[in-house]
Amino acid sequence: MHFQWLNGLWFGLTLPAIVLLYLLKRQYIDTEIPSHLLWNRVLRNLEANRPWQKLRNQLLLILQLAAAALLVFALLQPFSWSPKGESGHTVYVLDRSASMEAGTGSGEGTNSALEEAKRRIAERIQAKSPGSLVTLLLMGTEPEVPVAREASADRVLEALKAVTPSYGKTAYKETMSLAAALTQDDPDGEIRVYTDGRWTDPAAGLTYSVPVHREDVGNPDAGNVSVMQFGVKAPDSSSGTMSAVAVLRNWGGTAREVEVTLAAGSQAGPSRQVTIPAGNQRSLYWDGLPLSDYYRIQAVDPEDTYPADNRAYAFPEGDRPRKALLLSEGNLFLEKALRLANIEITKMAVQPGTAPLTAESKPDLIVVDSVSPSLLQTKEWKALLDSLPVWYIHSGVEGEDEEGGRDYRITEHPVTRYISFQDTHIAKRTKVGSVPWGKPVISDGTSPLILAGEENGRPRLLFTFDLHQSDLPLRSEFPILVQNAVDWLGSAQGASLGRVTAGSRKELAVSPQTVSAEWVAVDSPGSSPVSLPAEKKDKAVSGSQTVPDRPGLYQFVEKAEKGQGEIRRYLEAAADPGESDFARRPELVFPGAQEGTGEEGVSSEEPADRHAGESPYSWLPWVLLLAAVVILAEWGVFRRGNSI
Amino acid sequence: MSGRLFPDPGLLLRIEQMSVAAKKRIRGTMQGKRRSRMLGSSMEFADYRMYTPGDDTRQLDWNVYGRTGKAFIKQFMDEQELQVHLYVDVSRSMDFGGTDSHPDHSKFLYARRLAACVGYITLAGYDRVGVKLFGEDMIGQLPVMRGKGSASRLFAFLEQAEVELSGNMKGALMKPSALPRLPGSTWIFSDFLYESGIEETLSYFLAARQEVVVVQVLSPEEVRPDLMGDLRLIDSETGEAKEVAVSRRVLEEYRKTVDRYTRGLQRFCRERGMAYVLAVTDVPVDVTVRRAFRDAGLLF
Repeated sequence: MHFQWLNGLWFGLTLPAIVLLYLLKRQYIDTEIPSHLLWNRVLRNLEANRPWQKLRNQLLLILQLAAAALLVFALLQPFSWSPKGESGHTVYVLDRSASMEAGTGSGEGTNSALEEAKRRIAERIQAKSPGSLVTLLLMGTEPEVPVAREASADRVLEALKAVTPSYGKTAYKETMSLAAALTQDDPDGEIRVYTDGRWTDPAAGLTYSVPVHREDVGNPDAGNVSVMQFGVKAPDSSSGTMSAVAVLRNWGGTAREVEVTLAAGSQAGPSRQVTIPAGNQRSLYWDGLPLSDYYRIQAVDPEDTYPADNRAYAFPEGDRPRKALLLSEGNLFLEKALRLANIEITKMAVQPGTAPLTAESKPDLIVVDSVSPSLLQTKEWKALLDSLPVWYIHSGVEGEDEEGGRDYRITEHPVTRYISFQDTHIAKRTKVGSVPWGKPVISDGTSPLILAGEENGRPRLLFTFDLHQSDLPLRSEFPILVQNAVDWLGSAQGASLGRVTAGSRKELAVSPQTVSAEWVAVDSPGSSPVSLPAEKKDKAVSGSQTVPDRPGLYQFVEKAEKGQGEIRRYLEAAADPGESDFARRPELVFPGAQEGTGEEGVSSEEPADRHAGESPYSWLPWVLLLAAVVILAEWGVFRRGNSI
Repeated sequence: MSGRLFPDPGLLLRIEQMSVAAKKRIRGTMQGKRRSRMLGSSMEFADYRMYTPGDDTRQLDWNVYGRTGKAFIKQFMDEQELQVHLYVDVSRSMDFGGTDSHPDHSKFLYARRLAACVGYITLAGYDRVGVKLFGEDMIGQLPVMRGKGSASRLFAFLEQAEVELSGNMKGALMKPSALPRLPGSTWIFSDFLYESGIEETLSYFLAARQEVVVVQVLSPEEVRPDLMGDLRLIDSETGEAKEVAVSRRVLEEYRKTVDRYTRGLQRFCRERGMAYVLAVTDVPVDVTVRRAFRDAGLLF
């Protein structure tokens, strides 16, 4: 048993006082007086006028003592730690954002904050009473509830054991909102948030109907150095070497000396030592790097306990000349512009019965310039067009040609970059309502002029007007437009899928020949290379894939039927860059119900950790009830007026 | 003459000239100084009446006879003595009030002194006086005496009186033998601390044609007790004990009770034509006799 207010014990001194009053025997001095006559009258008068009467028996004393003792006992506000009641429901909100990966101590090798939080939750779960319910709520890219209202500690522990960090953008507010909703109708509920406090979203504006306890885990003063940007490019195509640039930032409060190692593929590269002042960032440059499919930069700081943002990958842009198949009767301006855009053109006039090119010289994209759709209806053409980015110019769609307006509306799109269409005159264009795969990027007010989109993961671009019916090719914007168009069309075909936040979804161009695909970990710190099967939709590899949820370098490997080659594309899964900011500690306020102990719901440090899984059970009502019974009994004795 | 009863013999000289007042014309048996209802042989003229044969011719008023020629007999008031009865309470409750520092404050001694004074005045006034001591019963009496020469007997009797263990006024006095046979003045010296019987007894004396003088003798400790604290009060007569936590409030109540009691007795006496005197023993006997009794019209 415990007492909330031990000072109340002083009131216990009333007990010996009462006993003393009873113990003290009155010392009467014998005094002889002539007669009792007058004194009798005096006493009779006094007795009649007195509002109280002498306590006559010992039972009253005992009852009085009992009542006083009980009241003193009640003043102490006794309570005991009892196993939580059957209805006790605790929602453990576990922040598993990337920043929880940071160690609790300084330097690597210490437990991560997440492990610490898991350990603390496990302690509480193990100590919980059999009847109480536990909900585990994980803070990830989206709130996850692995166990809900679970009474079995083993299952909760099992689920807890399986918790891994989430490197994506953490849904803090959604998780807390869900926690609030889960405890909405739970008067005995409790929310316990285990977090390092580095929230990108303070989750303000929520109210909770139950007390919210926040337990801080991790080292609040931990520093962090992150690679913010990393890129490579070829300074000039003839040199055969690459140059790289990286930006490192020190988020901590003290200057850091970091060893930065750059590797080209699996081949270790130069290493250098840099000092980054507190809160500053620093750019690093490398030249003369050997050619490679990917480059890796690693910043090593023994003090940095958060490794997820310490490495980054860069992929060289495919600068090799791309090949395009131009299906056209002849278009001089277009050909010139394509050449300017570093495109190797294979020109081909489509006649009925013309077969497409063989696989060996497969182009990177196809430009269909004013070709009747009926000529491309053969199986071979369709297969070819389906597997490649296609740029339709005044073809691909059916429709009447008509005059368009000049009220050009340009939508933000990679194709329309730097394009204004000012003073451009388009005599005629095909009237197109909409196409299933794309959206208008430029329209003339009534009908789209240029549409862009993706079909089966392949980019599609459609110009609804004939270039010969326009002065656009004469404009200075035309080469830029063509450059934009081929860049955009060719981007999905690149050797890399770029840098993506781990666990997020990514639109991919999947080859129609692909029958199976998988993610293969090429370089993932802290975990052995694994392969994950790609998601499928309608028995085909889906064009929208979830990126692996651990940071690292991955390859998306598409396999065609019967070993007919495979496509490998690199992708860097990176932790949410927002988690790197260790200096940010927003004030987290959880306006929840207050507990009877007066402890604020916001308060973080839990002093009585040893009573994990137990709840204070107040004896006060029972003590007061007992005191009331004793007082009633006392009243009964008082009324009866004699002792037993 | 006792030094114990009268440490100051001058007192007797001072009170010798006083006399016991009697409201009514008394009728005694012997010649005295008191006017009687009878006509007699005193020097005081009362009336004239016609001579009838057989009258004492010495009583003829010859001057009148000379002027009118008719024989008138001069009648004079008769003077007879007064019978004074002194009743002194000797119950144990009277044996209080005396301390080592103030032995005179003893109620018993005080009552006896008062009785001696009244008795001496009576004797000095050619009246007759008798003394009776009563406790549980009538325990002693001094027969009726007259003349100053009897004073020493009176004093000796009073001085030898001793306190009885208990008292019962009604039982002692409401007996025919305890009553004076002739009309007269009856002085009762007592503290009148009796639960019952006081009023009946006094009425009984009234009915015996007595002019009753009630002298309530109380000690200052009884009127204004100097008690405080937890006391076991023991009744001197019954021996019963009573535990009382005496506080200021209780004392205040006690004083009121004493006042109420004495006033009640006084009212009773007044209503019945009895004289009442409260004698507190810290007042010198001299003062009580010469002031209180005189103011009450009991002595002159």
